Amino acid sequence: MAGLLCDNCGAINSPGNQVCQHCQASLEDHLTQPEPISSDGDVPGQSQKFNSTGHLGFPVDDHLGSEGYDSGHKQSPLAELGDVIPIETVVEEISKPKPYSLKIRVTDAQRTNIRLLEKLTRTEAGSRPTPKTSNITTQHIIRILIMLFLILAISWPIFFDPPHLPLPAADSNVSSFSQHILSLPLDAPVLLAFDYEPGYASELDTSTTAVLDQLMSRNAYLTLVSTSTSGAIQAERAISIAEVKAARIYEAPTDYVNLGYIPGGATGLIGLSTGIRSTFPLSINGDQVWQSPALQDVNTPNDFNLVIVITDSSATARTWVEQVRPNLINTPLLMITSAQVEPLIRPYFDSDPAQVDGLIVGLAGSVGYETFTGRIKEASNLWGSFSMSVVAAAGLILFGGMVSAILAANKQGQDYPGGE
Amino acid sequence: MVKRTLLIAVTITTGLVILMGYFINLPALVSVRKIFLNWAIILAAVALLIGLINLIVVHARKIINKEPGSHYSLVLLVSLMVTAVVGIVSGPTSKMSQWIFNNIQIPIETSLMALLAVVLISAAIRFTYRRPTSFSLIFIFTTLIIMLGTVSNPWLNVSWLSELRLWITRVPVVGGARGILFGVVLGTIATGLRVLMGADRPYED
Repeated sequence: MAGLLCDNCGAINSPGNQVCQHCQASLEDHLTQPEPISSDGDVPGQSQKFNSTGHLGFPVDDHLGSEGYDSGHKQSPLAELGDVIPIETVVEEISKPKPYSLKIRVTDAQRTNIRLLEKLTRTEAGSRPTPKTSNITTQHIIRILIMLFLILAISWPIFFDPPHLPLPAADSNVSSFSQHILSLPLDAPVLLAFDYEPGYASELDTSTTAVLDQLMSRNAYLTLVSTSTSGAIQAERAISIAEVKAARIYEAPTDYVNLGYIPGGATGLIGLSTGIRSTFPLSINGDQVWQSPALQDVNTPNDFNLVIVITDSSATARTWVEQVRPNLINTPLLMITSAQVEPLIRPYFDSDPAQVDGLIVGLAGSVGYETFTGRIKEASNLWGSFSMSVVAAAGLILFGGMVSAILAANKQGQDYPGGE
Repeated sequence: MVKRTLLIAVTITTGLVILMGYFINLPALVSVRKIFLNWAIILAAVALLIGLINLIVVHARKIINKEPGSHYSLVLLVSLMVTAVVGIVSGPTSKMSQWIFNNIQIPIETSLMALLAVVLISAAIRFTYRRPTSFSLIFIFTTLIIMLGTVSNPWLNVSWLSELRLWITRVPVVGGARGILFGVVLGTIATGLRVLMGADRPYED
């Protein structure tokens, strides 16, 4: 049985009483008045209700009786907040939701629209056969035409009388490169790094061959290394080509030694610059090379008479300059690079003091080097085809770009006739 | 917890020893730095070997599971085995290894470069098909100047083109590239410092 708590005397009164049966105090106008809880199964706390004046009441369980509340509960702490708590919103939040039917009430017209929408989405979600496209598109035809035009431009100077094309002159970087080789003493040890990928062989082989030819003329003892995995075999290939062009025999390990691959990128180069013997105890073929007369005094790259790096990558070239160059006190560092590397490496040559002492860049640099040394003429023979192909490519880009722009403008005009 | 602390301590100590070796010319420090560097070089070589083993395992799994495109994996594994056997038996720079290199690897890679040239020209032609912006026009004209300024032109042999090309490659190109490099360097320093201070722990991944 539930009752009403009188906040005056603390007695429990029967439900429905307006005044306390013990002290005759009013039971209506106070916050602490517990609302009687019905005994019909409502759980205390979940079924809190509010009295007619909108104040919160406390449920009282009849099992507690009058002793169920201590003196602290007799005067509710919320008594002073009667006009502060927003009763209405609290009621909305904690009251049970009204039961709604799960069945959607729709009209016939709405039902028809739903069916139509379902039909539409079903056709969209289903897979449709892709339209069959032709194997040869306009793009393919354009590419084939470009290829034919380039082949024609390349082969024209080979098979027909080429137009007069002036050869590039040797710049200061090329002449400096050659001067360093010419000033080498006979049989001097030279460190050569082959750091380029096979794809760049066409561009770099000509300058490499010309430089190797000049080194062989000085009878230099070549020590070959590489930070590229294919560099070791690339170096052997370059030696073979140079042997043929220079009409000389260079044999390992009497004339040169191939030390192989330097793992670890920049770390490997730091190791090389501080101690080449610990980095390469043996040659790639397993030979003990450090006891040979040419290398017996060599411990670091600084002990070589010349260090030459052949590379297609600006990052590799920079790594050599940053990691190895500081340890080269008396030894010049020369570079043979692809044309794409020039912008980033040329400042190292132009700086004062120079960090790169000689530079051959691309096919133009090879031609300049050949002109300067007056020896092998391989790059000079390729210069005509190279020039014609580049001019043809530039012409294609210019002409094709203009046609493409006109076609685009026409298409735009057809799509938007009003120019809007 | 102990393992983690140990890892951090080893990393920070190694980093500091290597770094101090650059600034303090102490023989003992330089010797320790050399040892660490040699370890790093050996580890890099081992990593290459592990990468090779991983490549074999991944492609072998593709073949066993008959995944789409597994015939390419088969070609890769057969090529790898043939090259490895030739290299091990006759030597990495032998005539046979050179034959494979000269007649397979160089032609394939050079052909890829030639294909790249054709595709780039084709892309440059299509570049103006979309509404050209001022930057795309600058891009195209810079390309043309660099190309024509590099070679000898029988029809347009003007010296200013070559000089303009030199100016472009030496001033704006170097400036832009240096700017990017500077950003990379700052990022590298920040990453290095974070690893040294233990804020970044890539070895825990």
